[in-house]
Amino acid sequence: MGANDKFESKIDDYLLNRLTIKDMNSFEEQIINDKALRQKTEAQKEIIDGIESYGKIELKKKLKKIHSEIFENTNSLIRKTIGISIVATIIILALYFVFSKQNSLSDPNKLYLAYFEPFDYSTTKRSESQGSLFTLGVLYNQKKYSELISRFEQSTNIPLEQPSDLLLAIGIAYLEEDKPSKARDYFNIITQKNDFNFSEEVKWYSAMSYLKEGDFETVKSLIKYFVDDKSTFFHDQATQLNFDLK
Amino acid sequence: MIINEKEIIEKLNSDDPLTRDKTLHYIYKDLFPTIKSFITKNSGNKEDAADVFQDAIVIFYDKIRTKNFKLDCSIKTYVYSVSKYIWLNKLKKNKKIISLDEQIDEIKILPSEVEKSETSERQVELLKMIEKLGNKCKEILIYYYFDRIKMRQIAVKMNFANEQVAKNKKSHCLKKLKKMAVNLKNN
Repeated sequence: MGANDKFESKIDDYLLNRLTIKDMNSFEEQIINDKALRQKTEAQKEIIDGIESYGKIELKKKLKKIHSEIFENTNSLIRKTIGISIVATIIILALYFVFSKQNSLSDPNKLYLAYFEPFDYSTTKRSESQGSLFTLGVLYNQKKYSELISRFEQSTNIPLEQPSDLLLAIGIAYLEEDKPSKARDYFNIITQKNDFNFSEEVKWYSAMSYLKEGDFETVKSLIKYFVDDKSTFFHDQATQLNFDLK
Repeated sequence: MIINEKEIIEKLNSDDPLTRDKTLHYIYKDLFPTIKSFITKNSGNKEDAADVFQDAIVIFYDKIRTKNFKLDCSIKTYVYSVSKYIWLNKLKKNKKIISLDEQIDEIKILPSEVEKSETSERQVELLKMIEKLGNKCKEILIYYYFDRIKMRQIAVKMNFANEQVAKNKKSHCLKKLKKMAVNLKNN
């Protein structure tokens, strides 16, 4: 080690506070008495101060990097998690809709419940003076289908002579009592009577009876009439049902 | 990783730069939210908070490197107080608050510890000269003079054959820098 290196090392120790108090005092005495050593120490101090300032700048850069590592990664992780959650939710919802659709399509009863709406018998005009017809209407509106059927069958032997709206109500009562085939018997009587006032209802509720039995092809052929004709009362329901059956 | 205050200081003074970096990462994650909360509640934004907090950590790091430095409060209190001082001082300079003294109540911070002195033209030139040194020279000088890492560990970290080779390299770089500084003075 040369004399200069020895001085450099000694000055380092002094400037970096590595000397004992005794050595520090001794070195400071040397500085006072040795102008060259004093100048060397001052020059080295300036350089070390510069390196320390540079070190602080580098440390700040390092801290900025740490900041982005912690928070930008966290943010991107949060964004990623939110993104994954959204995609997962969409997939789950899509699967749910597809599955529930398939489920409802494979279950005729669910489809029937979705599309069946009872015929509004109360809109037909009956007065209390018409006795039994009025009572049957009340039973229909109260959805006492079993009692309605029983009373109707006791009161008449010739259904063909009964008014079409009552026959329709009886057919619907059978439909609701889960006897679709028997329901169609009554709808057919209305057809036999050539009562065109109820032809659309007969067609629609007949379709409902086949729907209940899961005979979707017959349903489609019956509702085609409504699908094709926008002016018909059941057009909207038929179009939607046709879509669901596809 | 949960470490106590004593361990944090030991690790920040470790001769292994990787241990120091991991500890800086730890205290950053641990302390930044508090500083961010203070600054964002006092007219600052997230960027201000990060800037002030980083300056406070640089000051803290600078303090603990020196042999005689003793912390008479928790690290959190120290960093919080320094951050608060820096931020309120900035607000004062921007005339956003009138009295700074009322706001500083955590610990006594000496302005000389915190406030950056004006950088002279000579210092700026010196920084430019350091920038011009090769990467190896910059690295060894910063490890030795700023991080105060021992030569033996620097030799390991920088893949020198032994401690003496590292010492020679450091000496060579220091001389190079001194020479550049002398040339600058003469020009």
